[in-house]
Formats: sequence, C-alpha cells, structure tokens
Amino acid sequence: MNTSLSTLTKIAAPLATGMFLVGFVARTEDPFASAVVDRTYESADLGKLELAGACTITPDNISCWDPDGKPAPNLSEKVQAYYIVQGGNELRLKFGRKNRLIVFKEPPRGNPNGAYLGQAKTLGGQYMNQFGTIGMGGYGNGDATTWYLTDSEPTQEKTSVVFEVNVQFGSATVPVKAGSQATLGPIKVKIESIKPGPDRKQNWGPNPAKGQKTWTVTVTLDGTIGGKYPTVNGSVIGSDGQAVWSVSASGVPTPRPKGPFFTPPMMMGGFDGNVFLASGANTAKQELSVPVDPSKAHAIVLSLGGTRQVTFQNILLDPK
Amino acid sequence: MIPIGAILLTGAVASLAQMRRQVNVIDATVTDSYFSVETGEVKLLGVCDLLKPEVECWDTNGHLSAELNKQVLEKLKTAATHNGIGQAEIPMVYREKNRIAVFDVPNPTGTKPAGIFSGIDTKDGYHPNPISFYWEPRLEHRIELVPIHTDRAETTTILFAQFAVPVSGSAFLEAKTGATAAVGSYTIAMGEPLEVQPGTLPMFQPGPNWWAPIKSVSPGSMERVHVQLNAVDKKGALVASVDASGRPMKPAKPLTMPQYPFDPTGPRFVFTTVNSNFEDSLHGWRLQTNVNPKEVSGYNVTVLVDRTIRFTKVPLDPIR
Repeated sequence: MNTSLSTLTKIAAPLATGMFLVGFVARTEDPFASAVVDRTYESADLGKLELAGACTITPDNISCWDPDGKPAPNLSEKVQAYYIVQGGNELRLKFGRKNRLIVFKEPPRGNPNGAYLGQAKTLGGQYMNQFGTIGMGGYGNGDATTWYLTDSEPTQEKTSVVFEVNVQFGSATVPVKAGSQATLGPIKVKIESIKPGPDRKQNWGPNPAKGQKTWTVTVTLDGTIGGKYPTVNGSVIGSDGQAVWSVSASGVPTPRPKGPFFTPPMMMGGFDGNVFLASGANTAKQELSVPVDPSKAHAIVLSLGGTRQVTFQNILLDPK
Repeated sequence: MIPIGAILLTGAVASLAQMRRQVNVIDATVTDSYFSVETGEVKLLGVCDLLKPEVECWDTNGHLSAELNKQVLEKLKTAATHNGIGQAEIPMVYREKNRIAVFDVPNPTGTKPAGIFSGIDTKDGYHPNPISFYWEPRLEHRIELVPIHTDRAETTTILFAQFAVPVSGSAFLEAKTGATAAVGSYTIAMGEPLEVQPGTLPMFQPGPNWWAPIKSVSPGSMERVHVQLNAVDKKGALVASVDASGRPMKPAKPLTMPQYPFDPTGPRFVFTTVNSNFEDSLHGWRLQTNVNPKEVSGYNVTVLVDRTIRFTKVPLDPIR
C-alpha cells in the first residue's frame, strides 16, 4: 500500500464530494459505501483496482501514458500486442469525438473474498461495452490489465470511469413455505408469507394475452449491513433438484431444453431462462415475485446482495 | 446478405451482418455504376478516410472531392445510436487500412425496383454492416456508408453489390408430401414434415416445431436461388399468427411490420424457415416452422435469384 504524503493528498480531494473514504487508498469497511478516487481503490472483499493509464488509438499507432500523463511505453506495447494478436478485431470509434482507451489493473473476478467487479460505465451511467483484457483476470483467478473505450468532447481534458462492485453475503436453500428462515452473513432472513398474485397481464410465451400466474413471497430481514438492508435475491429449485429453467403460464416448471441446437431462449417460454428472483428493495420487508407454483417447487435459494460504486475521476485524456 | 441457397424468412428482418460467402458468379463488372430495370441503379460515389483528423473523400478516379466530403459529413450528422441520434461509429481495425466506401443504392419504393438490394460484400467474403442512420426519408435512393478494412499495402480493392431479383410469377405448394410447385424454371417439392419436440430447436420455443424438407427438382444448380414461402390457412388466407400448438389464429392485435419472435407484447412470429446444412443447400432446404403443416392448405411460393455486381479498382487512397 502506498502511504506517501502525495498519495494522501491526491486521495483527500474526493472527500469533498461526500463519498466515503477510509485509509490511505480508498478503502471501505462498509460494503455498500461508494467511493471516489483518482488512482487506486482497495477493499478487503474486492482487492485492489488501479488506474494504469490511458491510450490514444489510431489505425497506425497505440500510444499510452500513465496516470500522471507520462509516456508509458510498456503499457503501449501491451495494448498493441493485444490488437495485433487479435487481428481483425474491430473497435468502433465515435466520429468527431476524443476516443481513448482507459486502462486499469483489475483484481480477479472470481469473487474470492465476497465481492466482484461489475461492468465499467460512464458518469452518465452508460456501460462501456468495448473493452480488451490481458492476463488471467478477466473471469479467471488472477489480476488483469483491462481497458475500456471511452469517448469525450474533443476539448475535454479529463474523464471519469465508474465501476459497479457487486457484493454478496452468502446464500441458503430453504423450503418454500412461510416460516422458513436462514442466516445469511449477519442477517436472519425469514419467509413471512407466500400468497398468490398479483398475476402478470402478459407472459413471454406463444400467447402473451394469457398472462403469467405469479406468487408473492414476502421476506423479512432482522438487521442491516453498514446501516443498509441488502437486497434479497433468489432462485427456485424444482422437483429434480435443479434450478427451475422455465415455467408455463400457470406456473408449472417445464423441462430444461436439450439437444445439439440448443441456444438459451430469450423471453420465449412462459417464463424462460433461469427463474431468477430479485426484490430490488433495500428495506426490512421485501417481496419476491415468483412465477412458479409453490406446490410444484422443491425449495427456494435465498441470497443477500447489493452493489456499491467506485468512481475513478480526473483521468487524463491526453499525455502531458 | 442472403445465405447462398436459402429459404427466406417471411415477414421478418434477419440479422445478416458479418456473414461470409464465396462469390462464385459475377453478373456484371463495373467501376462506378450499374443499372438494370430489375435492380435499379447502384453507384459507387467514392471512398473516405474518416479516421483522419481532417476527413478526406475521393471519387472513383481517386480525385479528392470536397463535394463528397460535404455530402458524407452531412449524412454523418444523422447517424443513429441505439437510443437516438448520436455520433456515428466508425469501425477501426488496428494496423489495417480503414476506409468507408460511399454508395448510392436503390430503395425499393412501391413495386420498383423489384429486386432487393441486400448489401455490399468485400472481396474477403464479408458483409460489413453499413453505418446506420436514425431516420431516412423513403426516397428512391439512399447513401450507404460501408466500412472496409484491407491490408495497408493495398491501393485498390474489389467490392460486390448484392441483389436478390424475383423470378416472375408465383405458385402454390400444397402442404402434402410429394406436392410440387413451379416458379419460372424452378420447381420445388415438399418432403415429409417431421414434428420436432419443444426445446430441441433454437427457435420458437416452447411450442412444437416442424421440419419439412423442401427439395429442388429443377435441373441445374440452385446455389443462387432463394425460395420464399408464406403459409396459407385452409380458408385461403395468409397465416398471420399461430397458437401454442401451431394452429393458425387471429392475431391478438393488428400486425405491424416487422414481427419479431422476441417481441413479448406483439403477436407471435408466425412462420419462418431455416436453411439446412450448407452442403445440402444446392439441392434442397429444410423448412423450420412453428405452423403445423397439417393445419394449413399450403404455401405461396416465390423465387428470387442472386445478382452480383463487381466494382473493380475501388481506390483506397486519393491521388496526391
């Protein structure tokens, strides 16, 4: 960890934004506390996420600089190598904009410590869908160098990149009935009630007008983490012991598709894809809308999760 | 681009980007324009480098053209993003020559021209996505900006304009094993439909699907021939929608074009086909449909034939 005074000064500035910072680099104990940093973010549950620099990219050259704006030939070579090896890979540059690759050293995405890095996005909330990565990180178990394509006004000198960090606090499988409970991390989650309705007016099946029968599972949480209630997520386990893949309009699980031609259907069954439940709430009482008939479900897997944001700001868009 | 020897989708727009094909038959070779009554006129206006700080465009003789510059810049102002008007995305491949070919292509209006312009292919057999625009008036012609990437040493390239031209006339194919239908010199025959259980094919889940072999009984190659089928119910009306068991039904609401199978609220996508494995396509195809062949009287058959126009010596650099 860098404990120099200059680093401290650089990190102190974002405090004015009202975000939370602890330690010399942005380090958070509250799993939901967002952070704004210039260079480095580190937490026990995620690991270390560092700005490595930025690059211009033209058909003839890729040229990178470090976070201070000094030339970074090693980084340039690394990124060039990627595009040479990945010959023919298209980057879609925005016409009339300042197009830059913003490079990070990322922690493993394998979620070893309870949190994993989500997608990078702009301050405006748009996901950065064009990226490249070198190293075992990616979706493996090692660190990675990853870059994201951004575009800015031609006169803009600095930019920001926002990462979502997804935090999870364990999961447990419980019977689908009122009174079932499980302790997830420090919180006891209890199913208070399971009631039919409200049915959906439409399903995604062959006859959308038929509607989708739905049940409401109400759960309560007996505590908070970092002063906040995490979100309850879940999935339904069918009588075959596997996660329910899809259900009919009346809520009966249907078999998982098989065969050599199988590609995951998108919204084409009664309710297709893994039946994933998310309350989307951060309250002591949360509701899960379940499109599976409880009498046909073997169990429900409950988990607690949430996200926080890490914003890297003052990223130089040009070398100095 | 339409795959060689395919049965066309009906009432749907297929995603045809980046497919690869071998151009074996050339119907005409030109340097800057081609006209026929069936296809209308397709013109190569010139080529641009949009990745330079100052945009450069040149005509088909390689002469820098301020007029083409202006025309292309004007066009780029209406470029589309997924949620409205935005900056055009210019595909760039590192260490290659990146250019935009500017074509003036016919838009089908009313019944003219009868041929369908299906895009530009590169000499490597790729079918690049043209830059998309937010809104275009339905004029007889439109400007198409086609990204091309070549080796940096190349000074000219070859491009292929592709059309599918209807053979005059149509025919009715009874939904009966062994039935035949002839359009022009092309005759097709229907094989034994096979019901396929839900979940075994990539499309139209969860209902049942049918495969029906459609064979060419014409002499000669069907390599460049596309057969288009529209299901007709037992009362003689075109099938617009089917229920979960593949029976024709009235659509839940008036049909609008195009109908996508993924639209959760619209009426179900009704009838489509998938080309069989490529090697067999010279002799026949396999129709995949979610319309039960036993519930229809047959299919209206139309036939289209490829027309390929080669543009030679497309200049990749301006004369200095």
